[in-house]
Amino acid sequence: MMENLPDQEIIDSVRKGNEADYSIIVDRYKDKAFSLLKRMLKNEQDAEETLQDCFIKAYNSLNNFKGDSKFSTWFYRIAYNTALTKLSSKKRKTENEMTSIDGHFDLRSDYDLVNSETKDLNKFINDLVNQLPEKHATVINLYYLNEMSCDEISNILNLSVSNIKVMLHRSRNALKNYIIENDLVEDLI
Amino acid sequence: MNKLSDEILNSYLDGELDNQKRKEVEEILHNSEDDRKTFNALKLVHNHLSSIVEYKPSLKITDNVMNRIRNKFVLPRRQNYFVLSVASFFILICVAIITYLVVVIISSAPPQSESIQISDTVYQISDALINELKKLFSGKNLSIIGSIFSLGIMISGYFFFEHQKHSKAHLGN
Repeated sequence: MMENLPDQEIIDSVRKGNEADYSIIVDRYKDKAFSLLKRMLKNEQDAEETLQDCFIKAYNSLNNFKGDSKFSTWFYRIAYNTALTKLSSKKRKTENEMTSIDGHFDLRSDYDLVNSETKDLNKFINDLVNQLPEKHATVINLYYLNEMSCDEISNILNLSVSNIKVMLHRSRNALKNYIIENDLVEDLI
Repeated sequence: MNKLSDEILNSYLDGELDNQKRKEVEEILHNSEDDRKTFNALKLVHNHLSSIVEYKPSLKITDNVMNRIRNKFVLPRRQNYFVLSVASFFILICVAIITYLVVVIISSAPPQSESIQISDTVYQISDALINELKKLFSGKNLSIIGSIFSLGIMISGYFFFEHQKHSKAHLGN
């Protein structure tokens, strides 16, 4: 079955003219790419529109994919850059955020963990992750959800591995400090 | 009072410390309650981040992307192939007519003697060409050629119409 084939074989098939096989690639990456875009753009509709644009761009540039890196790395780089373009076109005040890795995070969760009956811990942490600046949220998303190494993430974001580690650690520390300051450790265990 | 920095704790969590440093950290964590509390909070965050939510786009996303690809890249490419094949068909007919004329002229030309000038030869060939064109595009022959061209145009028109209908249906989706 085509669904089980590696990315490279599906791409070769698409390049030979079987464009319908590209739907397998779309199905394979849509959820993780959408999660990445939603965390960057902080908006579901923007994320969905940008996701479509990313797949179109990737299809159009398929002949430029030489296979030097994994297809996933190449595709997420397209997704990341497309999201950055979208952000700048919306003229959000992200310029400092996008260039600096030292920003202070003002985290606050809308989810009331202490008084909630269900105590959905993942929802609570997820809420906090969504408060992170775009670049930090991207690193967290790629590291934990896509299970990528810092090396792979550095290729996508075009930053050094040490910068990626700094962002990963800062994000974790921000979340850790939040739960310590709000005395939530016991609730989270 | 914490003895371990956040950076050391993160590196310890990621297993990036060498053996000696790791043992030192473990000893401090064993003896210092503040450090242990900080590390536990960090580990908690790390564990919960591992099950971070994966968002799902709308169910139609794959269809939407594939439709956009078809409309933007595949259909225009097919349209180009179609136009190219129709143009090739008419070019082939023209080439066939020209070849036929050349063959007829050459075969009907009188044997040349050495004394005949080049200008006479050119005159003879152009004269013969005009005569053959007159024959070809007059009377019965004209209707045959006209029929061939009309048939070609009708067939091309039919396929072009079908092609446009197909494209519109895709755009509608």
